[in-house]
Amino acid sequence: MTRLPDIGSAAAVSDGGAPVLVVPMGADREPGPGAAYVLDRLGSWLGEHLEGVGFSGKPGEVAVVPTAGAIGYRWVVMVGVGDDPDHETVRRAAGAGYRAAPRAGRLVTTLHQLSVPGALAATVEGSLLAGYRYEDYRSKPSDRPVPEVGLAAPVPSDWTETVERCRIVAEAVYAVRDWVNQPPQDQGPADLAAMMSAMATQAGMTVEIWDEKQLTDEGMGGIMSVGRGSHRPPRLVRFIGPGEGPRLTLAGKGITFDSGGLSLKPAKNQELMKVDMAGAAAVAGAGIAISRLGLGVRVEVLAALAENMPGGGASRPGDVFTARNGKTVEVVNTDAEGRLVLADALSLGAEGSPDLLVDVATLTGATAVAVGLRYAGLYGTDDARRMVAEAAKAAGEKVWPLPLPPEYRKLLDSPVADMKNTGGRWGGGITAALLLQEFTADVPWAHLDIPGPAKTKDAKHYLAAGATGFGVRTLVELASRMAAG
Amino acid sequence: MTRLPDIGSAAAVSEGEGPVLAVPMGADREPGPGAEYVLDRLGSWAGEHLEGVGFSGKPGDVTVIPTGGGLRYNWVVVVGVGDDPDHETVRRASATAYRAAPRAESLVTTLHQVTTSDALAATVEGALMAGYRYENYRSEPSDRPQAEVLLASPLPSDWSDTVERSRIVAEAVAHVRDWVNQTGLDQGPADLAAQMSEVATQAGMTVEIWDEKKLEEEGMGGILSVGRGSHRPPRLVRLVGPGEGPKLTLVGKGITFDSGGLSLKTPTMMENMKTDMAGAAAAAAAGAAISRLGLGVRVEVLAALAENMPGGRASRPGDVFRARNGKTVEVLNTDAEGRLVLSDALSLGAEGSPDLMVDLATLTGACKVALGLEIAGLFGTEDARRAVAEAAEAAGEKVWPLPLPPEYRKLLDSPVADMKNTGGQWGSAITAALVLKEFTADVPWAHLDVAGPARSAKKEHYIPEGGTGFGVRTLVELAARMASEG
Repeated sequence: MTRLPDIGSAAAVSDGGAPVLVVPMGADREPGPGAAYVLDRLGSWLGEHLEGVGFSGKPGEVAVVPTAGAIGYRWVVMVGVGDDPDHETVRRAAGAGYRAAPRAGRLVTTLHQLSVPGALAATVEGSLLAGYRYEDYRSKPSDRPVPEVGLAAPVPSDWTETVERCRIVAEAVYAVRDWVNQPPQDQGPADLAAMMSAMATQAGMTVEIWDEKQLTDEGMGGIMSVGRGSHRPPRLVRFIGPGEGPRLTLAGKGITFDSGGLSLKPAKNQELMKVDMAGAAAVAGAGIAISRLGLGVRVEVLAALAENMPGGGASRPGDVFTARNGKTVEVVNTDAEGRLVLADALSLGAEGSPDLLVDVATLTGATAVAVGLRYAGLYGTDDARRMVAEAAKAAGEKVWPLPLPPEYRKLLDSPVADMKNTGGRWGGGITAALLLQEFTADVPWAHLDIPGPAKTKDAKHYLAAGATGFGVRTLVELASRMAAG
Repeated sequence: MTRLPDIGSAAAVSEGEGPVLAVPMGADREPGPGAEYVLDRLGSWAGEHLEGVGFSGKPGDVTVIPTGGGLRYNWVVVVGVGDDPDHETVRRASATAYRAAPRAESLVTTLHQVTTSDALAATVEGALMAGYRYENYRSEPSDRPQAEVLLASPLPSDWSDTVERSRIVAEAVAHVRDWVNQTGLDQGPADLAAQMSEVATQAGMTVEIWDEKKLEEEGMGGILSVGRGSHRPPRLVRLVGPGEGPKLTLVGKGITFDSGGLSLKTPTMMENMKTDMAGAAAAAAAGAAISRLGLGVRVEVLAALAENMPGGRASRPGDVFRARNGKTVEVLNTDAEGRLVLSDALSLGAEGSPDLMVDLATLTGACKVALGLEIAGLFGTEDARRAVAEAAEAAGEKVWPLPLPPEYRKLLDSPVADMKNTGGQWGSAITAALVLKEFTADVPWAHLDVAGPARSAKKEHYIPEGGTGFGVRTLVELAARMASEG
């Protein structure tokens, strides 16, 4: 894993002492904390420069200004936060400021001084998340990003605790990004299980890994059905955190590579299919962070890991399997496999009667058609859906509720089994979620379909190109809300 | 238009007679109004029969029992309403019973006596909408009689007012269905404009029809751009109701046939494209119903009608047009044409500074992928969206909110114009709505993407195969709420 930037404290802005200073500006170049000092000391040319380069202070805008020795920093990075920023604006601005900073040993920021609830945590998170690089497969690593971020004085007295909490969450996000970015030749189900387990053990969780024999013994017909076409057999990973309190069970889809199986994806659609374990990665990363943070919940993680390949032993369209809870599913499309591994994981999760069961999965293209690439689709029972939506909002991750109309259940009717595994193109994200619901035994349950936000094509604000770690922050926030009762 | 069933009153179940009696049953065959009497008189075999044929009383369950002389009705139609029915359950059950009834001149029902709010209106609406038939293109019309629906006593004293209101709404729904079902051959923009005008004039509305020359003069570049490829030129229909009160502007997409233009659809995708004017039809018919009902709103309808054909003068991918409000749009896909005709109509509507502007359109396949075929996507400014969602809920039509994230606007950035007309595959119902938003001048606005529910591939309860009339009930309810909130 890449080393995270260090976060420390720094002197007040006017005292200087670092190569780079990052300051926010509001809409119409309204100076944020520290910016008035900079404008004052650098003189009128700076305002003219910002106007000339079209920097108006909108969120997303960044201008890097060389100071030519006029103040105690070599560069000032101006970042826009617009009118009325919220914590996510600050998180993104911190990420954008960090990414834009010239290569130097240290930057000092004032973003945490914005009068926005959660500004300190958002500044720290945005900076830490923006420091991520994935270079395991480069022949030469690229330039190191800025290794140290200083929070300009004044900072609140408990700032180190906030930094420590943010670091634990950011380390979980880094781990998820690493797992998702790893090439699939090096990451079969057993490999991913081992990597997750190593980190979970360090976080004080108890770990079980179910191999193909145990999966068969335990009646995990869905996971087995998906894994049959690969030479690398499936696994179920179960982690239980050390905490006490309400029970939160997190289930994740972990298809380490999804070729589609016999219902083979076209070449174009396979390009990014190493990402198809992002849901399992997010729930494992979140469970680890929740355990390390010592939040007062009993967290359980169930990661259903399989590789979906069209090998000689692969499942065929028309095959019927029996899931953990006894229900039968006719597989009419082997590329609708995420719901099959989740069928078992959710059944197992529901057996523990959790207070809340949440699954995360890169499940359907239909949800990406519905809400675009930046939003996750959120399905589930009413209260569970509301809780996850509120946690996501507080964590700065975008989710949008979608319906589960009972009258669509008939689209899954099968002539030979309790249900078939696809319900057609229309409402495809909904019918996938309705299938999952068959395995939740009516416990409070929410389902996050994250095909869009699990990855990004372009680097921006606190995201590097590739895996995003989407979901971790929401789940950690959710656990802390459950713990708070 | 088909003649809708007549609605009348009848004696109490125990005192009446007739060929058919329809009664509801709840979950686990809990007898609803009139059912106790039926079971009592028929004896134990009736209950055994229901169990034997698998009738449990769930919504959607229906069974027809011949009474063999055990009652003064020849048949009893038992319909399920489940646990805790709401008005939409009753509406559907009423329709299901109407459809299932053996052929007869009349049908006595007790569904309006189910204890739920608006059961009477729901019973009447369900039966009226189920009575719709479309036979204009049959060589011989069906000889099945249109059964009169008789509401069993007791009835509230103002029942005939309710029936009259429901009939006005059901007639509007029937107009929409007729217009949607009519062939593309017989329905160019001018034809549809004339049909709408007739209905609107009868409802006391003032009517303007803008022809291609007027559209040109008025700067309606979007509608003209879509209509260029057809030999039948486009029209804009403007209907203004007689009422006073808050101003409600209804805008509709009316592509009388959508071949896709040069971005031609595949044959399968083109099969039902005569229905691509369902939004305009719903807006026009709802406006007529609102006017007939005398609701206290100033209703204005703007129906943007064009035929999208790949003729020799058709718009080409890469063409740029200027819409009514001055904004320019690069047409990259001529099959994303609904938003182009709406751009002008919304601009025009916004000029009147309405208190609320609502558009309806069979706009995107993406909305069907998102929500399935039975639920409309609802977009718009926050208060407008909430008002429409609440009206739809009260009217028994299914809508679901979808987001309008400003950060998706850049997907529409064009290298040559203010925007392009498509934003790619992902979130494409959203990007379509974001195009529309550019033309709303920030008035309170909601957009219903009715690509799924405006048409149906199968008969179900009050929904026929073909045009459904989706949207009319929501808009009428919305107007009634605006009027009462003043």
